Amino acid sequence: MISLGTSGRMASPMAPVVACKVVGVGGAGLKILEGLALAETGALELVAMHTDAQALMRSSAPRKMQLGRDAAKGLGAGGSPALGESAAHEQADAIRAECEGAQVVIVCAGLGGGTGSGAAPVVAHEARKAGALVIGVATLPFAGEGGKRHEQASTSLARLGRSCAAVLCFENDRMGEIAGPGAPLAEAFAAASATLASAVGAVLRIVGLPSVLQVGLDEFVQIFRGADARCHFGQGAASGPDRARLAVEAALQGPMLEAGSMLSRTGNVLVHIAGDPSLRLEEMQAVLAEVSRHLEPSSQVFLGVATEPRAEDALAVTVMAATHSGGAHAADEEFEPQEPEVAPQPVPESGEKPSKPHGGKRPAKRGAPDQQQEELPLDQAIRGRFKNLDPTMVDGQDLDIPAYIRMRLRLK
Amino acid sequence: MARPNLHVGLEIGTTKVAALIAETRSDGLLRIIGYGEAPSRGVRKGEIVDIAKVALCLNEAVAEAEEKADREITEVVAAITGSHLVGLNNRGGIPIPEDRDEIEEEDVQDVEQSALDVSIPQGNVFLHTMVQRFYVDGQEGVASPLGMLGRQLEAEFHIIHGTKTRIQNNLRCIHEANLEVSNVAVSAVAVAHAVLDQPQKEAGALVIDIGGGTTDYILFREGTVRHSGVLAVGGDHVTNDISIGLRVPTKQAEKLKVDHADVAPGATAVRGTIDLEDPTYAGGEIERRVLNMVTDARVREIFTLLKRRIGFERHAPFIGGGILLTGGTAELKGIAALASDVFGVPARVACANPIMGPSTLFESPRFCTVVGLVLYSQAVQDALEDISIFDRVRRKIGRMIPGL
Repeated sequence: MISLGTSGRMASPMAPVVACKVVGVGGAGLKILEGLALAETGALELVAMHTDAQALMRSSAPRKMQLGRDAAKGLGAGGSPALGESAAHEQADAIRAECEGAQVVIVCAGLGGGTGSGAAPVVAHEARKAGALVIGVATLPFAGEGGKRHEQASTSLARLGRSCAAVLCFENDRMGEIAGPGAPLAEAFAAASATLASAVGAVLRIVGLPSVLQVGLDEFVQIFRGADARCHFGQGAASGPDRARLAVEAALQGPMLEAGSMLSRTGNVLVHIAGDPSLRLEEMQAVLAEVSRHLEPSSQVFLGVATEPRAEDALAVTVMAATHSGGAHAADEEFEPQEPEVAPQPVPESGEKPSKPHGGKRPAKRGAPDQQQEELPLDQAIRGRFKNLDPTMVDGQDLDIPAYIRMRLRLK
Repeated sequence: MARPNLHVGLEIGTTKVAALIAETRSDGLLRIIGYGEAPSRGVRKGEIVDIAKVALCLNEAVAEAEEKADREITEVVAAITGSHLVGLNNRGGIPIPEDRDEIEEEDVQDVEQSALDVSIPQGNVFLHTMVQRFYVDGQEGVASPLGMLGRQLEAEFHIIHGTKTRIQNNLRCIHEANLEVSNVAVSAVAVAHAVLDQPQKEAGALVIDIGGGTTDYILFREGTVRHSGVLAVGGDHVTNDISIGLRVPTKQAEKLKVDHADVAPGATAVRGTIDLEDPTYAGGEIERRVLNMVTDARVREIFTLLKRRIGFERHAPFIGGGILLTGGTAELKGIAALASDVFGVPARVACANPIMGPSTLFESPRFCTVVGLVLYSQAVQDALEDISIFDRVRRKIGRMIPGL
């Protein structure tokens, strides 16, 4: 377990247990900060970093840092990650000084452009040197933004992953679905930023607030470790007598959980419940029961529970999980060839981590999830003509797999 | 504006794209004047995955229908399906304004609005709001509350909503083909218009439309919709299962399904073989028993899932009209027997109730959706006119009788 430091834990009910700092890098990073500044009025330490002085000026973050005064001359990085990177190197010492004293630094950036792709990995690196645990929050470009940006994004993501204990990676395409295909790009970006801000807010609450049942940073890191993980997230709140059921249902309706069906494709799931002090045990059980309905038996649930005195009768549920690109998600495929630095290891024995060239990087997960990984290639083979489509998940079963196989009928 | 007398139904299915043109004759009856269809490309599980490909199929189907009808069409009523569609029941209520006691048309609209005050996922839109029953001052079972006296109006509705982006994909595709969309209907709602009349709805019925990519269902009880939904499993899954289970190519599997598969109870024990008559196929003969087992497992599963989803047991005593099976997969041998076996009520394969037009459209369950669409389009238009006539009459009378 990573030491969290208990100083000040009981000083004030709302004081964060962990000293957190949120750094937004580049245009998209700043937008996430704006969303956070609107949503969380508490004493959040927000730091904006950008090469573009104009954009920095408009940011409402209390602390700002202009990157690359010489390299970028106050303009943006012009879509060049190399420029973004040298801009960040220019301010390396200042970045490190900014991160001193924080136990957790969350680095938010949109990957694909110049400043975000180039500077974010440097910022994460410096934050780590300052002694903080670094969590990356990254977005991948919309498919429509072109191959070049995707390439820059995936290179940057791999680099970001080296300095971060965990990366919460979101695909803009998935989040943009909220805004609709007819929507202007700006609207789709706005929808994506709003979702991200609420995800970062949730992370802060989960690891930051004093809790009845604390989710350890180690557990959190466990779920989102590795640059190949894609984060899925849903949040819901409700009040009244039926609040537990309503809140969890709303959370599972989250833009990336596909009414809960996405959960059956994830290994470990993080469930966080925040309520007023009247939160009852039955309510906690109701939330867990609803979530587990969507899970494979081998999945593990990390539960966190926090009570906030100011929350009036409301109960909020956050569900977070990660799928790994070895999974059935077609959109991940395009990123696989772009991580050539890890050579696929020869499979020593049949059935051992067949689809995971990244297996060496990840620590063995607790318990059963590895078994689940073994089944995946088999599933792919027997989905036949549906192999490139999103599976039809009902009650945790992939209905695209022939019925007779799932029923274990013997045909001969 | 002249009354539009053309109704065009357009179904973008997983298997076929179909367009049907009907006209309202001077006596008010609907007559079908043109039908066109094209094999569908770019649709998976009822949802569009390739807009350009689908637009081509759409042009083809529409051109054929236009040619037969000798008309040019500009707008269509489109069918919507896909697993993103969700049906739910909700109750709404409003107080009648203080200055009067009588319930008016606008109160009925207000109560409908209040029922729409349910939380649906961000990015979803409402597609249908269908009234089940009204309550005036808590009194149940009022068919039409208009003109009744009361202080409080409540109503229960069946509401269908779906993901906006997925629906927009459909609409965009139709726009690509230079057509306007005048209205949309959820497939199951359209099918119900084609196969059920009001007495059957009163008696209670479950309509299951199994297409290539989806299974759409709708349940009527006491004349109104009580349950609806979509399962993203259909005939393509049956074909896929046969292809994998019997190790034959998809084309062969499709042929085996259409020509030979039988899901009647007992068919999984039949003897005999089928000669594929394909010199390139090394396996040669297919055992009927195995083919039927694979097919039965899939179709039985679809029915079992629906039964559980609907909670059919509590509705069963009120389903006097039984189960109606439509869609291309309803042509599978023995499917009605299998459905009654699973649901425990009588089931039959249903075709669209005949209206004027080519009789072939009423002889196969494949055409229920498009026929339903034109009937739906006409019903919507009639309802709109009824309201305006009612409004006109009421205003006239209102001037003559003070206090109304």
